[in-house]
Amino acid sequence: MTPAQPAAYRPTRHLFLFALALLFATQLGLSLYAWSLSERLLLPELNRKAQTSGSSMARKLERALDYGIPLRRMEGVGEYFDDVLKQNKDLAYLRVSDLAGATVFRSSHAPAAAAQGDTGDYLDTALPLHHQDTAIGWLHVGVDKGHLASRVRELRYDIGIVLLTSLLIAFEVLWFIVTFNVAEPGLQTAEQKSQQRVVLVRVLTFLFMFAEMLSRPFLPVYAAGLAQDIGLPEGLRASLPLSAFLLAVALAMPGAGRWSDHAGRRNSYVAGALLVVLGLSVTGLVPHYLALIAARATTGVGYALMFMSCQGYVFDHTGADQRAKGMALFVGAIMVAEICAPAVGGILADRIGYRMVFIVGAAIALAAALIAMYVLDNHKRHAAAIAEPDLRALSETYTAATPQPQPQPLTAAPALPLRQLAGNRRFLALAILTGIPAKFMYTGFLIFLVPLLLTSLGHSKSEIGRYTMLYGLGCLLLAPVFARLADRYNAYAALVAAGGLLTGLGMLPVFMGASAELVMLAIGALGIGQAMSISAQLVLVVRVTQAQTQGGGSGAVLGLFRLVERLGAAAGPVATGALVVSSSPSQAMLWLGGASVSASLLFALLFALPSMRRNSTKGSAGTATPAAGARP
Amino acid sequence: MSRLRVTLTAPLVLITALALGLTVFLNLGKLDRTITELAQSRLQFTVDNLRENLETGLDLGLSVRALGNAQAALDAEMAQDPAIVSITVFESDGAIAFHSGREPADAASARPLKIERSDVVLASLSDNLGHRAGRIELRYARAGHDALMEELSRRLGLAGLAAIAIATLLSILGVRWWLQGSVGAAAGTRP
Repeated sequence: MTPAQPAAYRPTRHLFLFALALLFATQLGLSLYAWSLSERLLLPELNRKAQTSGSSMARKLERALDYGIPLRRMEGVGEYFDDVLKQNKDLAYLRVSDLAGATVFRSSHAPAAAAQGDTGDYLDTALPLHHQDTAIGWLHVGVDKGHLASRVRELRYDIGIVLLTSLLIAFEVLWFIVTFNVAEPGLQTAEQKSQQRVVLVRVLTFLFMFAEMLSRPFLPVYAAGLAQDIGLPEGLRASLPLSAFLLAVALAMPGAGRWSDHAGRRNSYVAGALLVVLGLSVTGLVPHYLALIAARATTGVGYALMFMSCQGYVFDHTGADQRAKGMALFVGAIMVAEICAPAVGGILADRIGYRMVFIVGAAIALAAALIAMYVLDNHKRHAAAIAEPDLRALSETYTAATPQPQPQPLTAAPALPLRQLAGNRRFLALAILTGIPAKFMYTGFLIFLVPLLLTSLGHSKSEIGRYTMLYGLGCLLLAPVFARLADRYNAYAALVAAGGLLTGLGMLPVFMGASAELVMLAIGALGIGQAMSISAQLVLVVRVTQAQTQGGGSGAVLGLFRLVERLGAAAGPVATGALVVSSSPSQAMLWLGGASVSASLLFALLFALPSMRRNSTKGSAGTATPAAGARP
Repeated sequence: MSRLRVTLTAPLVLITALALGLTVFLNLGKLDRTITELAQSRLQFTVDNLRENLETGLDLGLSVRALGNAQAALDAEMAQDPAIVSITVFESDGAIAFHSGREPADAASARPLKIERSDVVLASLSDNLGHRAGRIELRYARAGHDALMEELSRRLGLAGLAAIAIATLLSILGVRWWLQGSVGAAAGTRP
């Protein structure tokens, strides 16, 4: 924070710190109380379990004794005890002793001392073993006194997510309120003013993204369960609603941008929000497969409208020199939602059911519409500005840290040189081998396959939501780092190739057998891979199409690239669904990994290696390669 | 200034209350599942014990209905655990072969009548050739579980309310401190 920044910003940080301390302290206190309460109140239940299980096992041993087998010569008792302990994690140990207390058989999860009778942390239930009405020994069943509390402590991840999410939401809301109520009168410069307008729209961006992404951890599973009588295999049933949403977004986005320019930001945002409310409400209220597909498509159109309105608002209220910063704030809200929403959606789905989560999403979108009506001005772009579609294409990336091209004053929309682009092999290589695969992996793997795969492995929706957070965290934390590295070392092509390669390599270990750890590895690799490649991709698009965009600006080409990418995104779930149908979820993951590795290697062969050679030749000839900041 | 204080305090309290409410909700949900799993795994021992007992007869070639010791075994298990509402042994065609419990069996529908709120633990019966011969259905009362959950909900709810009250007080003081101190100082720096 520099002295030039508005005075009201400095104390805002104190307010956030206060909110952080308050939320952390209250949730920690309540959680500790809940854990101690569970330990105290549930111990008698655990004791009953020890009694019942002990009686059952004692009867089995007594039956063997009645057949005339002496206690010490019984075969397989240890294995039987091992099996019981394996199936009952709440039992800590099982021990048979003679009347003198010497151990005859023992199996234990607990330390040896505990199973020998030193029962400080364990509740020991001793049941007599009788043979012909005479006690001949004891069966000791031990339960860990802390077991129930430890079960409840499994919630720590969920509670951590509640804490993180509430903090992020508090951060967004307080920033919004402070900006709206405190900072406005004290504005000093145009830069500060524009940044604060962006903050106003940031919370709206966060809200609509949050509403839409809540259903991420379970949507494919929900869709597959809805239409068992429709005659489609499960994999395709699960994927079609996702593809309907993504296709609607892809097709609606260009028109939504234009309509938002004409109708005004507030009107278009509210219209989009109402479409999302309608789509999510129908999804939640009408459990019918075809209604789900229609509702997802409607939600997609609403999403596109809201997205373009927020983005347009940022563009309207930022000058060329503040645009990158404005986009960073805008994209930041998307990433925060990407981190929080699936995790919260998973927790809610486990507790209140899938359909109620859609209703919660609809309520949030409605709240967003109401806030937009209050805070957004209905700014409309004038004709000359409407003809400037270029930078919008750039903003749909997670590339906040990459300096973006300067806006170019245009008087007419540039015609798209499709024929020349079709002959531009490097552009085609970028689009087909990196642009489409990147989005395909994001939707096909992260949005579609991860929920299916982890559900088939027995994981809860909360866990699925938690795992998918890794992607958002990877992108949020690493995208700026890689963007700076790309700029510094002019390593755009290398990063694009490496990003795709890493994404694919992260998926390949699933050949050893699907497990949550391997899925997490792949999600992490996807997050890092996309952080490496997405920002660099767009820089490369601008560079390799210089000949086609001379005089007209790169906007139309970038828009085309984005459209192609989005179509790849729409194809992701349905194509991956077909792979699931023809093989299995883990096999489909392997195929995706193989495809990503192949595409990246091919891209490296066709594009990256010749580029690197050229760069090194230029370097050795003493010609500096233009840095990103100097690119067209 | 007081309007701003409310505007800042209210969402802070609301978000804290929502987070605490969600924490209570999560804890109660987890405890509910843990207690249910505990009861299920406890009574699974009872059902497995019965299954092994009855399958000894099935292995000798007897039909389910011909198992002479079955009714006594059911009654013995019933007597051991007051939480058990009923134990019913069904034949492979779904007809009731034996029944013991506080609830009578409805012969017409071949189902035990459900009077108490209860949960079920099941085990299937097979003969030594692996053929399915019937099943055992144990119903156990949820009254104890419900009472325990009620007590936990009450205590956690009260703790949550206390935490919200403390958070409200701290929010009022914190926002007041922030508005008086920091913004006042910031305002002094404005031109």
